[in-house]
Amino acid sequence: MDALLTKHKVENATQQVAATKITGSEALLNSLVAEGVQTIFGYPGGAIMPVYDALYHYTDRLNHILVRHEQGAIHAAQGFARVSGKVGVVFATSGPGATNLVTGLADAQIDSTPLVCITGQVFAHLLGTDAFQETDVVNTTLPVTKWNIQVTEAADIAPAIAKAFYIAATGRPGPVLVDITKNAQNELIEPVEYKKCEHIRTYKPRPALQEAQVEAAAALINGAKKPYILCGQGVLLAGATADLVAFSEKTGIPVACTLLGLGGFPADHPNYVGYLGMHGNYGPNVNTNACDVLDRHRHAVR
Amino acid sequence: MRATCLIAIGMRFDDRVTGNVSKYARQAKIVHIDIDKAEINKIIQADAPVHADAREALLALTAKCNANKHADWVEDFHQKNAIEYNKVILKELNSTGELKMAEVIFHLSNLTNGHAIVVTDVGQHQMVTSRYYQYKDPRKQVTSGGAGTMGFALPAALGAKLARPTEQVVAVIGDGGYQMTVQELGTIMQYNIPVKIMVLNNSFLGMVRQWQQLFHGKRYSCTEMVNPDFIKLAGAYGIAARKVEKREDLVGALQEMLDAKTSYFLEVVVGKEDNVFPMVPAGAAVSDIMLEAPPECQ
Repeated sequence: MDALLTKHKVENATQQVAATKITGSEALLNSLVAEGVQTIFGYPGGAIMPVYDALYHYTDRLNHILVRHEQGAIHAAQGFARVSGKVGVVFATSGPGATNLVTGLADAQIDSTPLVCITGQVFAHLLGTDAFQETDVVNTTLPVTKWNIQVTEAADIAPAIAKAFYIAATGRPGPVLVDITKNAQNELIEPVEYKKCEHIRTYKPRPALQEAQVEAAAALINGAKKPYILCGQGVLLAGATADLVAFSEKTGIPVACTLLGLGGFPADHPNYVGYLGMHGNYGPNVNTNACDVLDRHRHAVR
Repeated sequence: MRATCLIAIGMRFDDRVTGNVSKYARQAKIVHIDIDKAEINKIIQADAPVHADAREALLALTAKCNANKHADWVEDFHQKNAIEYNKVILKELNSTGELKMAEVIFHLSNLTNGHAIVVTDVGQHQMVTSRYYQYKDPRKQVTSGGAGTMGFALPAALGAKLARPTEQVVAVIGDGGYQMTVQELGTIMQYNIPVKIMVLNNSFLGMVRQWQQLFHGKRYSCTEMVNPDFIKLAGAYGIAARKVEKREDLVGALQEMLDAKTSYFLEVVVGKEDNVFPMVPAGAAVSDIMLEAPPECQ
């Protein structure tokens, strides 16, 4: 009788515990929802199956777009991020799934596009054994990510995601990769309330505007006979188009745009003088460089 | 007239913009505003660096800078651009024979009034679109800039459409880059994403061919492409498709593409040896920008 009661108690207790715990995969998805993610571009595979299994019950909250190649997923996430200003989110599996992201990571890195890429990874106990579809993704993507990390325990998933979104979206935006081992995806943990990351020691994404620098710049601009504004993507990333228009209109200074700066200043504005660079417009390019002979004479007169 | 002061905002003096750095803006003072400290003084020495967010910097500078006008200086740009208009643009927009990439984008820009989201791939078509599409709004130009990744546009366009589903999204792609990620037509089909795809088909890896014409004695080494029937391919994915080869069909076809409520694929056959000018040859100063191919390369 006692043995039976004890077995009952243990079973009930186990059920209660099971009911309150969540998997690392669920912790991941809850974190994404908490970060305001609605769309994911991805391609499943063995090492990320637990995440996809959890995703099955999140279709009301997360819309996953199945692409045809992981490179398609990351470029789609880039397009998504570029036109919305939001962080693009990508899912891929381990090994070739992850390495298929490398081109897109390099692209997003150089073009300052905010992305969070989640890659599945083999079980932690298999790391370093040349397991099936195991690749050292962290070291492979070190130079092409703003930040990356490998997570081997479920409790570390949410904090890693919080850091990932903070790093991807702040300062000069960029791509972040979070590599999660399969055991961490499966592991049961107590649910913890998600905490967004607002500070990382030694990471200073937003420099404080320095009065002295602004004064020096203003002095140069005020004294310039032929000032010329070059508008890059930074204007778009800062959402500063209206402010650039105001600045150009007050000071009367003409504006040309780089390739990624196009649209940062309206093309039909009277102060807009064109597109810069290798295949840019004639005026914006010619007016940048002095003609050596002529300007030697004019040097003192400037 | 030459600039005496450059105010660089959120741009990093990429080599495609500066041309030969040792000759770049030697006469000018440089104000460089950037949020990334690593970019300041990386390529060009700044006389007045401003390490800040562009918006904050612009607001502060607008307050501190004097109200002014530089009418003659601005007019000088317009006059120089008029030279380009007469020597390059007029010809491109008034040609006979094979369709030119320029006229396709010119019409696209007019038909959408410069308000569409335009996603480009990499190559000649990308440069032509940057020149001829009049982007009036922020965050509507999407392209692979620093990396120049071919195959970028098709998936990026579907991603852009999902982010802004009520807006017109047009992908402009070359026949080379299109085939690098063409399998994403499957994604467009599966989710019924009403994105517009326009391939400018010159049966060449165009930008490389242009360099081979200008710098390698027209030795077209491994740049000629034998392409499949793109219309059948789109059809296999259930995507409405049309091919245009004649000038008189162009505007109508563009309008049909823009008006479509579903995804739409438009192939425009363009001149095989069409070149993009003006051009600053690699290693040259930006002031040495060429308006046309030198006679020996034509």
